[in-house]
Amino acid sequence: MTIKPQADIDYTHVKEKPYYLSADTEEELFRAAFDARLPVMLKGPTGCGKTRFVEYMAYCLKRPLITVACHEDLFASDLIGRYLLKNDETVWMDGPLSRAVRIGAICYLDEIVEARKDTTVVIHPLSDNRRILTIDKRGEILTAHPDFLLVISYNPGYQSVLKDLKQSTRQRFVAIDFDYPQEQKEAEIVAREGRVTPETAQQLVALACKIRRIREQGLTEGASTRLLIYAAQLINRGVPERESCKAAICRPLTDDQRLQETIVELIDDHF
Amino acid sequence: MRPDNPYAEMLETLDSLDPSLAESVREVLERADPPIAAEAVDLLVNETLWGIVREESFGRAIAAGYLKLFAALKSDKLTRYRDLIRAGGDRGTTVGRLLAIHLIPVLIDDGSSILDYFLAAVKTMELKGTYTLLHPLEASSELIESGDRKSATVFLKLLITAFGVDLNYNQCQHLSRRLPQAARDFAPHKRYWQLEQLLRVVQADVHLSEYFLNGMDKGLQLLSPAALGDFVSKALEICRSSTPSARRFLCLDSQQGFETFTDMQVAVSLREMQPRLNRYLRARTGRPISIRPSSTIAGLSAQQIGDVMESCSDGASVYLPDEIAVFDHRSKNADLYRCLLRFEIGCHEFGTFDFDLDRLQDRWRRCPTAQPAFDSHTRFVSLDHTSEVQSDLDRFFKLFPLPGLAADLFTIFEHGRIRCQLNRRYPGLIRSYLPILQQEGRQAVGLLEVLYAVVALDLPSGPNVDLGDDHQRLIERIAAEFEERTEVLALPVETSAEMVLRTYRDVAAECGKIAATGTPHYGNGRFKVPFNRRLRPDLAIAASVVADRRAGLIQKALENRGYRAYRADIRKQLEMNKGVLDTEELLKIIEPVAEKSKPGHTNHQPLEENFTELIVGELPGVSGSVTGEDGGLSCPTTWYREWDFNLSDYLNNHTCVRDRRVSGQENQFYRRTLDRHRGLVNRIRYSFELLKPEGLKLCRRWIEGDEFDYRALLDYVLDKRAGRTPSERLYLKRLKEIRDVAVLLLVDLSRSTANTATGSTERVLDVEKEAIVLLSEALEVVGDTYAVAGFSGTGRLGVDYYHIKDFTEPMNASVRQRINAMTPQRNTRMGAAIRHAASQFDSVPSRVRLLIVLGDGYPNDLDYKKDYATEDTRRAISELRSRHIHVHAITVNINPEDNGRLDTLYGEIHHNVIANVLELPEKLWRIYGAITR
Repeated sequence: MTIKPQADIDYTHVKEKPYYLSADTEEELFRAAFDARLPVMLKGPTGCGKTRFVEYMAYCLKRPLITVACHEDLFASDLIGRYLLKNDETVWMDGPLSRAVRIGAICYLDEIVEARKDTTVVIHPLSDNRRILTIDKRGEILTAHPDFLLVISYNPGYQSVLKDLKQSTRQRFVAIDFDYPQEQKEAEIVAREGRVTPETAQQLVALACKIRRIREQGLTEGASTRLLIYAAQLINRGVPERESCKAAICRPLTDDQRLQETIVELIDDHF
Repeated sequence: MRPDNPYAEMLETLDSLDPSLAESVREVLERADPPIAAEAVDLLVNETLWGIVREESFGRAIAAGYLKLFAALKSDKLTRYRDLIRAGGDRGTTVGRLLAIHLIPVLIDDGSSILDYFLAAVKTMELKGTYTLLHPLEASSELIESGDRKSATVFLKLLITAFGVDLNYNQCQHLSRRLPQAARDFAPHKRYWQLEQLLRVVQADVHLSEYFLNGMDKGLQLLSPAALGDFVSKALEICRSSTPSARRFLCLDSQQGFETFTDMQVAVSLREMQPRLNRYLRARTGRPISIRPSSTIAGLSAQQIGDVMESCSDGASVYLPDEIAVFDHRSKNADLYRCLLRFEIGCHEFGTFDFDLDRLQDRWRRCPTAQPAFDSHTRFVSLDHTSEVQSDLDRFFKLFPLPGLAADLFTIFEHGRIRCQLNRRYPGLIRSYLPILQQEGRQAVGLLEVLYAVVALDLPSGPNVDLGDDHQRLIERIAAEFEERTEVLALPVETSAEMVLRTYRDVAAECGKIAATGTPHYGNGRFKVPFNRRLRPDLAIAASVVADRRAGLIQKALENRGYRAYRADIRKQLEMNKGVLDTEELLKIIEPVAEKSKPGHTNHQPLEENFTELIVGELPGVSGSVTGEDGGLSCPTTWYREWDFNLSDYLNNHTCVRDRRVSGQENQFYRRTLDRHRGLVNRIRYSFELLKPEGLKLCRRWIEGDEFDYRALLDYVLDKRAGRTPSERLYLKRLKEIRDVAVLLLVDLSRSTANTATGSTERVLDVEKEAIVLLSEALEVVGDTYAVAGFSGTGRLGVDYYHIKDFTEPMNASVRQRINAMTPQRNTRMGAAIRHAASQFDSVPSRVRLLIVLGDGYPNDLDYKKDYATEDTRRAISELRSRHIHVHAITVNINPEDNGRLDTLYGEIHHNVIANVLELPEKLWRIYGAITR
């Protein structure tokens, strides 16, 4: 027996409208891709709004959203499903991918590059015009619900030889580039999400721009918008600005003492 | 010789012995004014002859000495000179010659005591041997000639003391070089008291001097005079109980020595601050600006470097003092460095050097209440920019009757403007660092200094006892006006120039009143800015003269098309885009000419689509983007950056690596090697077989997996029946074991590999080649992807990288021939070769990437030696590590005691030393197996 899919639909819907400030034409692109049911790849550094964007689009398009965080020990069975032993019976349990395929949800595979390559190929038949998922263990070929959409995210700055997307996977997707928003917009986002004054948000964004310049000297990725929002939230709760920035921006970014020194100097300049 | 020559007769004898000498003497005598007395010339000739007879160079030295005495008008010293030379010459021609040369500065200098010390020093050293005299006497002459008589005296006392004790030959040799070197190494403004301390040390025990000098190199030279004196006193105290402890103390090897030194150390050097300051600078500006010591500013005399602390910037660098010892605490001095840097960066960030005279003119015209600052000088002459190299700021100052005063006023207002901008953008910076400047600025006396304190440093303009009421009122008025003007958001640099125009007349009038009471006329920088922060437009223009010229030509080309742009804007764009014109950027700064400036000049034409290319094409002598010459070779070249540890920064596009393909030589070398080491080859094959992975591995009892593990299922059921909690581990998974290694063997083909290996008749390189052959066999067995390459070259533009085997190439006959064809080449520029090797890995998707560097020494090339080479190589290796390429070095044929430096170069665990290169074939493949297990 299988668990009925209907029960899932309710809890996978995005209930409240998430806040998202459009940077460019990504919304239009995504809608067009959804209309054509083309799989979408979101490319960009960590913390620049990819997941938030998917939630937002799921809300706008009124589709359920199922998110899978990919990692190195993710097996095909984790995505597709497995038999479980329940009360002396073997019961088939759908994985998140199969569930999404059945109910026509948006399936969002976050950081696909972390997963093993033999797991990643599972999505190949879903991401071309066949739109099928093969469940070997049940001998079932599942045809995707007409509303099913596959979305993946990918951080190209990772720079690991082992962890890179193969061409055979990459070329099945429509790609949308994400980057840290332009200064004015980023300040708006930080002010809203962090609930701080626009001036404070602008200082945080100016600080982040400077830290992002250190990137080539030893910091693999610059300060993400998410960290700025954390800092803003701390400031909002009464933590002094310098302390908030050190806790939310400086220490998470790096353990290198010299780089920390430089970041602290920049923080001290701004606040 | 001319018959009417007055000296002809006197020089006749000399002429017969040494005509060229006589000729040169005669030339000098003829030029002498007043003419030399006959007796003096006679003396010269006689003594010269006396000398020549003993040895030619001695005679020449004597002649030269006399001529110098004549030139310095020291005729009263002639007799003394003669006596001393005669006495010396009688003891030996070497001594005589040295005295002839080095007595001269002593005699020319007026102090009598220095002569006594000199003679005493010579006498003492002579007792040890004439070989000790050369270098010390050279140093002594240098000191006296540079005007540093005090140091010279101490130095001579030092020699007397040092050589007055029992020393063996080696010790004498060593001291005779070391002491002069130390005297030269000490900074001129500190030399005297540092030599005094050295003297104290030597008086206690001459053998301590070496340790003291080591300590000086390590940092004692940063101590203040009093602190250094205390330190030496402490060391001498320790010496009374234990000489070894004193030694360690002096050279800062002991804990006590180091702690005492750090506690006393007040001065901070730029060198130690540079890396941190650089990181901050890069982060704040994102531009390639470097930090340099102010001793490198062109045109500073040695005295200036020592006395005056200066900080300034040109477009490309910020200059900070070499050393700061203003405060009593190290941390405060370090803070001062940070403060100076932050304010200097303000010039770059807020466009001080973007000043444009035309733009000022336009703004001034548009200003409704323009009061001309000077009547006849309100002409802004559009000068021909291409003829002389002068910044617009200097041109602006020259419009005023007192350019120096205009420059001072501009400094005041510009520093004020930068302060306002910094306050807006970086409130934390102003809060932390402005007080340091204010503290210094509070001591202001005089009109301009107080004005600076009020406008530039935002100090309150309270009543000042020194200034009269008139001055006070003037300052308040100017401050209020400045305040008003800087409230607007847009504050370009021309704002400061406008303030100068508005205030010059009144300030000049007040200064005229001061001048009437006798203060000097105005030059540049007559008033003292706190910490000597100057604006140096002359340096700025010198740094960007090429870009400025091009900007001028581009400006003209645009004018021809009926468009205008400010030259400073064009120059800035060229500098930001590295000399390349960008159409989009250019369109932002140009505008059509509104008014017809010349009759017959038509309206602007619409710009062609590719107008930037056309403009660039019209420029004379245009060079394209940075490309290097490949020396006429058709091999592909790649440019790499190099790390300059002096600047703590990269030099971009600094080295050029040429890819060379070697043509192999037909030979039986490969086969012969395998035959010779047959036993070894079999062993290699066996052990590397064991390294191969076994294929699929089955893992049982996992929490999740592909299939049920039926044994675990049985246990599950049994446990349930027995009432126990069953385990969750019910699954099986199959893991593929992959050995995914790629290795590149990079062989140093420098000249030194042609040396014979110790204990053999073969060259080092031949033994290395054998080792490579064996390693290749091993790698073929285990199946790893591998490549072999060699490198050498000369200079930064000629690094050769020889491809012997690429990753994708199979091992075949031509590869074997190439291995055989490897021959010793030239130098070792390791950094560039390592970076190029890293790029070879881009084509390889392996999980584990390894670079093995096989060499026989240290990196060494033209301009690439010692610390510089070590630091660049280390940097290259760390770049590779951040790209997940492991680096391992194997150094052969080297003295194991040099290990320390190899540790610094490669890191302690990442290198092996094989002292006897003959062991390399045996060891190389073992090392490889160990690394990749």
